[in-house]
Amino acid sequence: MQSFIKEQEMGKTLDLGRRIELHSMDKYCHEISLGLYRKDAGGVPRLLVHTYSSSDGADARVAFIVDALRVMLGMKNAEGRNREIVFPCGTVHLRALKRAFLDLCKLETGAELKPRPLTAHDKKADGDLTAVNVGGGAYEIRSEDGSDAGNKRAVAVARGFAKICEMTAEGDPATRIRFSCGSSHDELIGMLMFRAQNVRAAMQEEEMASTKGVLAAPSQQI
Amino acid sequence: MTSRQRVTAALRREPVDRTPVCNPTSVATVELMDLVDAHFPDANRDPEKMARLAATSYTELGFDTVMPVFSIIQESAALGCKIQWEEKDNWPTVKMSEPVWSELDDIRIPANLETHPDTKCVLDAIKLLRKELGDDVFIIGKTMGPWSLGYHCFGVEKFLLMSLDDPDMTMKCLERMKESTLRFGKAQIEAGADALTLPDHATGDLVSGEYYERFLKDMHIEFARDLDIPIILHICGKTVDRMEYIAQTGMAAFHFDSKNEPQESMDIVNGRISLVGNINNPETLYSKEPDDVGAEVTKNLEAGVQLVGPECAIPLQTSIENLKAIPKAVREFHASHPST
Repeated sequence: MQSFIKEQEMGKTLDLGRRIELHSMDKYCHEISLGLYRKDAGGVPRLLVHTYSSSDGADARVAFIVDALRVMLGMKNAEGRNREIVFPCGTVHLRALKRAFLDLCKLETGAELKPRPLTAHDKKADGDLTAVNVGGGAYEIRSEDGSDAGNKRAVAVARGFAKICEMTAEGDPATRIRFSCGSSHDELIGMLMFRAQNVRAAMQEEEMASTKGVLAAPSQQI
Repeated sequence: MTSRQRVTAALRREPVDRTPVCNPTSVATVELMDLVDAHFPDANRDPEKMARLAATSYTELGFDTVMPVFSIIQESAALGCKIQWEEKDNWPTVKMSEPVWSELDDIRIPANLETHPDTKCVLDAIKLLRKELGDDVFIIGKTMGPWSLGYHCFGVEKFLLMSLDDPDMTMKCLERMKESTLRFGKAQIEAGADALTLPDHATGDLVSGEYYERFLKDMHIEFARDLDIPIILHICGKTVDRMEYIAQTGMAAFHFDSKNEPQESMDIVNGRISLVGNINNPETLYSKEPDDVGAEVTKNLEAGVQLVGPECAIPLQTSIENLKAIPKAVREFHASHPST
């Protein structure tokens, strides 16, 4: 048997900054883990996707997820940085980014990447809802048919966005939400529209993920 | 001092050049699994993968110890329990809803306890680690105590009810099951382990301090006497109500949970046993920032805790930077407190 320590050497882990999200098993690439890391430089949060796996296809998988973040969330390359990306507004919308990253990891490498529309069908409203960009980082959730059910759902979806994107709800009824950076994020809103429509499911998924991989004492495994 | 010398001294409560960073349970994470291509569940069943993943505690994280027995199910598998091996990102567990024993006469410690593939894997991994890491690193093994084996083999509810309804029978069962603890422990000593973690889950949430004294204290004294290397007792939860008894067992150390205040715990054990711990897992290591980890390390060091590390097996999704924050904080503390 070869010496595994000699192969392994010492200290191969990297200083990638703070890991803000982890997709622990990627079903499209040998179940590798994909981490999303954040480093702040000159007041601008820069994001990096990394895997410690050297499996075949791991680099291509990382490159695809970075592309997905650019296209589907409207992020862009950090200036002078090859592998790092930033939000154009210069801030980071952490909660929304974490949720969107996990959803993007569910896309197969090579899947078509294009921003999602700001209008989506809503089953409970039995009609379409649109997030209208009204400027200054604010979006108005409108029911296309103006029905009672549609208007109620517009409030609920605005509340959903407020929660998963950490936006501020405004108005009465509160159908307007605003990013604190004051900038537009159409791609992010489009990407998370279906999550805002069903916040409870998103929360349950987060809760389940937070307990996975935690070893419980036998007394708590009844 | 080498890591091995440092940990050995701390377990004896002798002077050290700095507080050792110790991992009596597991610091395996999914990212470390990727780094060395040794993933769960295989890393619990293949000795080379087990050793490779365990070594990262020293080679990547900067801990003074390595611990290849990540899970708590190896000997239960050999005892016949059904195991849910799970996938890369979750822990293997015993299917306690399908118990293998229901009464005293069912208890049989098989002749192949040490040669069953899931126990032999541990022994082979320890041998590999000793060969690969040489004498510089402290290798910890693990042998489950009879109370934990009772949960696994009888089921938690049945075992606890038996302890209420028929304490004498419970004692007889524990006496029989302790053979597993001793035999598997001795086999790991022979394989090259420097110390053994002995988890015995008389946990604070279900079992009182009085129970510990009545059912387990004397047996733990026997383990400390009969297993001829330092024993690190591990019990999760709030355990200050039994630390006085634990301190009387003659074990080298107690691996204590963050539900116990370091200073209060140190005051109770009063130099009779070393303490190892007690950085919080689910909140601090898993969810917070390296600075928060550092603050908990400092709190332990200020209390004089002899060995610092996570309170229990860390969540598999824990970030590497939070784990590296433990040895970093220890070094920083000693740099600013040269006399401690």
